[in-house]
Amino acid sequence: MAEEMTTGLFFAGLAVLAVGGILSGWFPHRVQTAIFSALCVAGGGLTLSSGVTAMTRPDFVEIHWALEFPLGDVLLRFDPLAGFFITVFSLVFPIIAFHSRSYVGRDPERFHLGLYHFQFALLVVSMLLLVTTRNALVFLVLWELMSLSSFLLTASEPRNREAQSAAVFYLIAMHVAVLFLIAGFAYLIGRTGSLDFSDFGRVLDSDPLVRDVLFALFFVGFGTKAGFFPLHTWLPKAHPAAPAPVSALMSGLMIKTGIYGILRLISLVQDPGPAAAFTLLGVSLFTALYAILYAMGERDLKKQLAYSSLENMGLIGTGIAVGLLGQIYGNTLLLVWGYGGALLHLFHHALFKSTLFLLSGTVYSRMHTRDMEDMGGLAKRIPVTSALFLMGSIALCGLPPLAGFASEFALFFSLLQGIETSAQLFFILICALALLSLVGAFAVIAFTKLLGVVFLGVNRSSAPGQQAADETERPGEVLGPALMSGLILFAGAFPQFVMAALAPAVAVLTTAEISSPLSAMLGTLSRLSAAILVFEGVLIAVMLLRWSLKRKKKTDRFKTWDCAYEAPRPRMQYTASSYTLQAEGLGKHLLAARSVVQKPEGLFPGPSSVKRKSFDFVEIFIRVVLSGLVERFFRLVTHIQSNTHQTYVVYAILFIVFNFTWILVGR
Amino acid sequence: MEIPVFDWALLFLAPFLFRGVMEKTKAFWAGRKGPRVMQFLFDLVRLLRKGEVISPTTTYLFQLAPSVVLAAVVFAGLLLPGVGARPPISFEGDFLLFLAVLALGSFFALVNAWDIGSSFEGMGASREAVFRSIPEPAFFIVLGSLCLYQGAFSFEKLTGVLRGGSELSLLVTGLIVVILFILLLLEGKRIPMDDPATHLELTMIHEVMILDNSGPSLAFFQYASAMKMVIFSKLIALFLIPAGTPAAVAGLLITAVLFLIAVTIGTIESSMARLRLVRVPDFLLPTIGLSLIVMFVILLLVMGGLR
Repeated sequence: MAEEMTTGLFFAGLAVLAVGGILSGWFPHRVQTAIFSALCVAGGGLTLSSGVTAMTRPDFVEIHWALEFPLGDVLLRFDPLAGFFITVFSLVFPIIAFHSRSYVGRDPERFHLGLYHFQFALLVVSMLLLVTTRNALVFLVLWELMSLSSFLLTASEPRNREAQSAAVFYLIAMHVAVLFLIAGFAYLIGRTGSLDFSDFGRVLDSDPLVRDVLFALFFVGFGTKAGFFPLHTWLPKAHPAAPAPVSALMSGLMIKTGIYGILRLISLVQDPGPAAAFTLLGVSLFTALYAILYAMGERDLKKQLAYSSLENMGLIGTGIAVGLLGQIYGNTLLLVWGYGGALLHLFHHALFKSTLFLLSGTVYSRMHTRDMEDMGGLAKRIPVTSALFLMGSIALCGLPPLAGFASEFALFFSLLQGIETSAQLFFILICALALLSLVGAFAVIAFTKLLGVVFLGVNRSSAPGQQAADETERPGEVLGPALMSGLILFAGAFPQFVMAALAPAVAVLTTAEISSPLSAMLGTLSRLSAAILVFEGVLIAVMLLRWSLKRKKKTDRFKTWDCAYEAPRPRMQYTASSYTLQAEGLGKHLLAARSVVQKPEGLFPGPSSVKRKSFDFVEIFIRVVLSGLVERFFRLVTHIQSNTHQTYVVYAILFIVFNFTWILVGR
Repeated sequence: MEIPVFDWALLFLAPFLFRGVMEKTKAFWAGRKGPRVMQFLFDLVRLLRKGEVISPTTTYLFQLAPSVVLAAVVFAGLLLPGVGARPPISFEGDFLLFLAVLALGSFFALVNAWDIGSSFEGMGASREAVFRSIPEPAFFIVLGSLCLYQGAFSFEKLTGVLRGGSELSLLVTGLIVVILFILLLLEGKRIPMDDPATHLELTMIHEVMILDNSGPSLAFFQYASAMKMVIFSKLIALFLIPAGTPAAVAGLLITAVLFLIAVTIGTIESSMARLRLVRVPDFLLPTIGLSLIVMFVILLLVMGGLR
């Protein structure tokens, strides 16, 4: 009965989504957005219930349709890991679809609505099917569908040049990555003669060298999607340029499919091997540090959020690496905390990153720019948005009492679990802990900068299009993010319930017996939850105290004192780049920043300016070095083509001679 | 949850005495009589009785920040062990919550500064943000190494003089005390990182962030700052007291250490000026080096079986 429910609800949800995507384009604009968001919410609800049932059952449900053509047997398995991803996706995408009514839906001139809705539905459907499929060819087809639909979604603003070129860059990056996936799958299919994932485990376990090479191939393929260094360059280009709901969908949900691929791979092997674990650990830590440095220095609002996504992917990767270490060293506590922390953080990050991107869409709709240095004082114009943005930022920095802290606690605590294993591991894990704490401190800098420059103070811009107008927040703009913020608050105060729900997903990743370390973990999380509730109590008590102190006193309003600050112009407020200048200096060897300084010359100070731009040196490497090499290679190749018949006749003769020699020698 | 009276009294009353002793020490070095020991209490009461002046540039965040900062510091105090059997709140990994809650307080202090909307406050916030980040890894390295040494993950088990009595464990204790003392000076915004007495543009960090707070808001910030100093001093004291000393003796020792630390800070403030701001990171980075030494020595101790 439960099995039918899982699969039936799932396909019902998919069907509703498909209908929404295909049919809504036939209706006029106003109705179209309403129909689409309603169908998304309905479809999402259906898939959510199927995901939750699949996630919380320890066993799995399978569907097997034997078809030889075109892609082999269709094999779908709803195990807890798939259920977890389905749940995460289904919680978030309906809210994004609902929100895009207020963003994309209000601007049919700018966006191609029919295309948008169709690709949105296609992307979500392909993601949901991707996590359930066990057939390698079907997996690749769905992966490709995901890439294509997200490419078209990024480019759904026909007149936005930046979005178009970013989308093309993204498409190229995805196709380079999928080559690695195809290579890996091709080898596995060749060795086993089957398309079923379950058969691949044998090959992976047979030979450590084979396993490590295959892991490397799959890490490159999945890691590009997730955004690990140095395969990350497409992300800070595509996510800012895409419309806000698309950025939310991509950053909040789609890049998690890269993590899913890695996790599924891990679930197929018995012993992943130290090479995989340590490489993943190193790459993840470096990604986190690199990304947060760039996030700190960014003045583009959405680009900072994109870099922050990369940082969090690094954190999730660290958790997975710790879980792998637990498998290798046979330490089940390490395993449970590592994988559990990674999955928790994945879920939490999906929540707050999508909230922040949706809210950034509201900011863009008011200011028509993504440049922070032209903003300011938005908290007075869009107060609810700013409050939700504050909550999202606090969660993103991993601060109590919100959800981000629970998962960062799990990640930090998982690192501590392994220190007794060996001296080398102690050293590595403590260094990882130190690095992650630095990343956390930089995240605080980055997000206080973002909040301060965008929402607080006074509007730095004097352009007429960016001033306060009659623009009260529409309920549709804040309802979705508010719902997710409520979830974030709940997940922060009660992490043990979230962890208990996703515990069966952890069990999928390993064959070890994890019920006792799992209950230890839940116990610690319960005590953490009690402490967080006490903190919230203390906070409310102090706020009440302050309120009672203020109530009977007079409050004057007077302009900012600040030691006789004259407030000459709003531009005299602190700028984002000045705020982070010293912190960026700490990381200057990783940041390729260029400043163009024009100093005031002469006896009487002339005009002066400072322009600062940071470049992603990996992107420059790809653009200049790699593209240059590719170009030189193809220039050489063009010499083969000539415009004369004679050359081609010579080629033909050479070919025939070669063939005969080959056949004769081969005998 | 036990409620040892001494620890709670210490948490809430010591900030006044701590400030008083510091000021008296500075006055002594300057040949002055100095303010009354409990002057800070009277200042706070005066501030609490006043109304506030709010700038129209600010938003609700400006009003929220003082409460969050004070709540964070009070809660952090509840996590520390004391003379009682257990701290009021204790669980595995509680030191992670301790550090995170203090970070939340800093987050809101920075937001408070940004809300005022001037270049001056932004400058102070920028310095505060980066100086805060530098010793973070040091603290984590020290606590992580202690977790290995003590084989446990909560403050209750981590503090207490390292057993063993060998020179190495004394070295470790000494280094930890030094690192914590530097952190104390940083969090308390004392010389050589910041000068609480000056109100000049080039030299302020913490003071500038709260320049526009008045009345109860200012009272909350100042009290939170003093309480943070008491918390870090208590942490230092806990590392100097062997685990298992009877409650009364421990209480006396903690009070004595707090007094000593207050006098030391007063002496430091009277004998040197604040470092140039570009040199402050140079002063803070060695904490990471010291913490790495602590890590290696603890590793040696554990591997040598000298637990």
